[in-house]
Amino acid sequence: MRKEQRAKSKDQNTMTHGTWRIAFIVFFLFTIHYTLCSMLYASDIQFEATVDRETVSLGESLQLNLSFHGTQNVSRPEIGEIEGFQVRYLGPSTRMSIVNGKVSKSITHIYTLIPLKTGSFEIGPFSVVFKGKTFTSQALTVEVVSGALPSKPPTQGPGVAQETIPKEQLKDRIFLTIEAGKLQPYVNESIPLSIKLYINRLGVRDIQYPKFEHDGFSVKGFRQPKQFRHTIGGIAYDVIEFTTNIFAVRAGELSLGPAQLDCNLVVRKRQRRRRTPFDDNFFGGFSGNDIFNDFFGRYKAYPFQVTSPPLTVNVQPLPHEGKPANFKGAIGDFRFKAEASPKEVKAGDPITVSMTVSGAGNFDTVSSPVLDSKEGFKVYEPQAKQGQVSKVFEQVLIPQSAKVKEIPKITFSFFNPQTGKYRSLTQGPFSISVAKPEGGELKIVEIPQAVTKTAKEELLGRDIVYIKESPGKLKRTGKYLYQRVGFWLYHLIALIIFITLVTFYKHQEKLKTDERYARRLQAPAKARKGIREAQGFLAKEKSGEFFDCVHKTLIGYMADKLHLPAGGITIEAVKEILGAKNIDGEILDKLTNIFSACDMARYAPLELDRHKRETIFNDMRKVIDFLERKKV
Amino acid sequence: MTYRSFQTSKSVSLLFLPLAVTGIFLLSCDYCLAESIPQTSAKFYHANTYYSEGEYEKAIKTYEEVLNSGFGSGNLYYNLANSYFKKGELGEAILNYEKAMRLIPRDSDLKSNYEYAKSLIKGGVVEAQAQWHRIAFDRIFSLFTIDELAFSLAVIFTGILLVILVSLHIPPIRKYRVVALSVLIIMFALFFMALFEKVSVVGKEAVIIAQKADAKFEPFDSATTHFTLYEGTEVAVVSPKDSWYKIERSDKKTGWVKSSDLEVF
Repeated sequence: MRKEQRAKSKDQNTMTHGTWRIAFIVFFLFTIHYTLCSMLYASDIQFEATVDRETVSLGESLQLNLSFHGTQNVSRPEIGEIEGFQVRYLGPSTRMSIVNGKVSKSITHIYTLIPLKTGSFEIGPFSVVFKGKTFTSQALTVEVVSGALPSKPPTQGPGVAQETIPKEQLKDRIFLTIEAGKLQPYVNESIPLSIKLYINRLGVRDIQYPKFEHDGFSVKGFRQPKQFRHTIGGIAYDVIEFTTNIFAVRAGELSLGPAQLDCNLVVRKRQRRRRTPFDDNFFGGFSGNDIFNDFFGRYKAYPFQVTSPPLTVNVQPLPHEGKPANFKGAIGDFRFKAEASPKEVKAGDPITVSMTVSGAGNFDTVSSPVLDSKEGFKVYEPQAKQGQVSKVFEQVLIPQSAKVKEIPKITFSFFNPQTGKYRSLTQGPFSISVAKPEGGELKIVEIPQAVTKTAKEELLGRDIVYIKESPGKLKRTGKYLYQRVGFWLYHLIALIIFITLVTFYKHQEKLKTDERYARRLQAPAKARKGIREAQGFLAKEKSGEFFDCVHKTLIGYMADKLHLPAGGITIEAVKEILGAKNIDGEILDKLTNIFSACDMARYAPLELDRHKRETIFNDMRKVIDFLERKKV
Repeated sequence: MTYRSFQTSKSVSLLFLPLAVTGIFLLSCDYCLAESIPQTSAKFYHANTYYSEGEYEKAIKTYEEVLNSGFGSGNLYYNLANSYFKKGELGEAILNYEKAMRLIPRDSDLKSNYEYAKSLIKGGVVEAQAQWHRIAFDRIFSLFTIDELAFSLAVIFTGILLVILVSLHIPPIRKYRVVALSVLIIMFALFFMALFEKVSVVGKEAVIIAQKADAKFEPFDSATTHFTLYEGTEVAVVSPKDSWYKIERSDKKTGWVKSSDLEVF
């Protein structure tokens, strides 16, 4: 009720901020509100009286709420004098909420009761006449003590507890209960479990799903929690209920819980200190709660864990007497239906038997119903589909011969925990007619190697696409590209060019890096050039130049060929290397002759005749030719 | 001196590039250029009119005249197949769709008609199950004609040579050489395989054109029938003997069929 006040003050707050839009919405809501109110019937109205605490000390005040759920048109009830209290009417508080399209509205008339003396007092019952009907509330008992309770200032913020709530008091204002639908279930029997969080006049946020010990039980996830109000001993609680289904997996005395639930309590902070420039807000203290704080004043959320008392469940084993032979553990109250189709088949064609188990119970324990006999059939593993209230098994049967006349009856057995007895439901037998297969003998292929795919069913109105308007690329038929000479010729030429280029490249690369190779390769060309030059000098009768040229050519050739420095070459060194390479003595002699002749001609003033020059020239050519052929 | 000659070798090597491009261009011209002879085209259009008038017999005759004059195209085979289909000769239709497939494999009309025609084969189509990579390979390379594959091979081959040559002369490229070459060589191998497979079935595939043909154990009329083939079924020809063909169905069953019952393409 205090929440409404808060909401209202918030409304006013926003209004003063002058947002027209919000004003419009509020106006709109009020319009709807009154329209709805006028449509109400008195029969839907509930009346209750609650107090905000049961124990009050002298000097404190007590709040009495007279709530009418289902209407907002009730005017202030006259409650008269209450013994031991001074009554003061505070005013009405209305509330309307729409949850999932369901409108609920209420009006609460709030009274403040100020105790005048100690003792135990009964308040009410109150009777109110509304639309000719009399509503009577329950009586409430309030104890007034003389200041024994820790006195605290009256609540300042609506709906919010102070920071210093004693544990004792908190225990009554927020607690958790755990309840099982049945305390003596059978093994595997599905039972509902509900965990309820009770909150009284506390700001609670961030409520998490409860956790609880469930050794020996299998638990499914919680459903969407429900929220409602519940009054215990005259105190109204907001209740949040978490429900789920559990089933015990073994027999014996099992303990459920204690359940624990984590949430945040919102508590008003006392504003003892003044803000200083060194307040945390100044130093960037915009923590998550700041907006909250600024809006409503100084509030603080602190984590809180609520614990419920544990619950003992006595799980009973399934009875042995009367257990059917084909009972497979299904527990619940089920119905069973089976259908087979098609009923007219050829031997070897599949028949699908669809078996539906529906009802209430633990579907996890439901396994496929049993065929009485499998004779004459090839039976495949059933496929199961599990829903909320049913489980469907599809079993494929293949009659193996035309002699099969019926599908034997199918039995489903389960244990009904309500009656404590086993039950067996039977469907069938189903008569079928099996024709002889087309292809004579019947073979059932286990896993076909080559899957024979029959052509798809003909589509209605399907036809071919119309012809092409243009002839496209018309060309001579017969020869493919790869069959043409040009194709292969292209590859051949490309390859030849490629090899040539690579060889050429390798050669150039060697010339660049291998000096010995380069010199040897260039020796004959240089020698030929020298020979031509010498021939010229020979013809021109220039003896000196001739011998110079012969000497230079031969020394150069030898140096390149043997990879020696041209300056340091001597006839001895040359002869030694050539001798080691098995060169004819004759050639060596000629070489010696040439060199000595050259030396003579160059350093002695001796004129050698023309014949001698020609011999020398021919010898030189012979030596070079020989060495070239020998490939020294 | 060596430096200059190296420069020459580089420029000579790089001459390979324009050379290769010219070569490829010539090859592609050889393959692309259509010798459109007005007379042939005229006949084609003529046949189209017969078709649109519903005179399928005449259309078939005219289309075949074009073929007999030594010219062909994917569209021509497609139109011919359509005419056979309309006339009700499923075998001939499928045969010509297959022939068209070899020329215009990416044509969606052709694909649709071919599949429709195949779905009408009596007794359905026996399909052998293949491995996924085999299916992928077939699916990719069924999009190419034999000529396109051959041309691609020539391009890839040239590419390989070019990569080697260019990397010799431009050292920074060398670090990518291994990757580029391996990609090209793998492509070459795949295209080569595809081409080889396509070429090896040319003239060895056949379509049953008789309404119903018996595949026998021996090449005699009196021999026992092994299995029956219906019009339009595709088979592979293993070997011929006199007026009989030894054929293999897609599920690897073999038998002898009379040569008049099928047509090889």
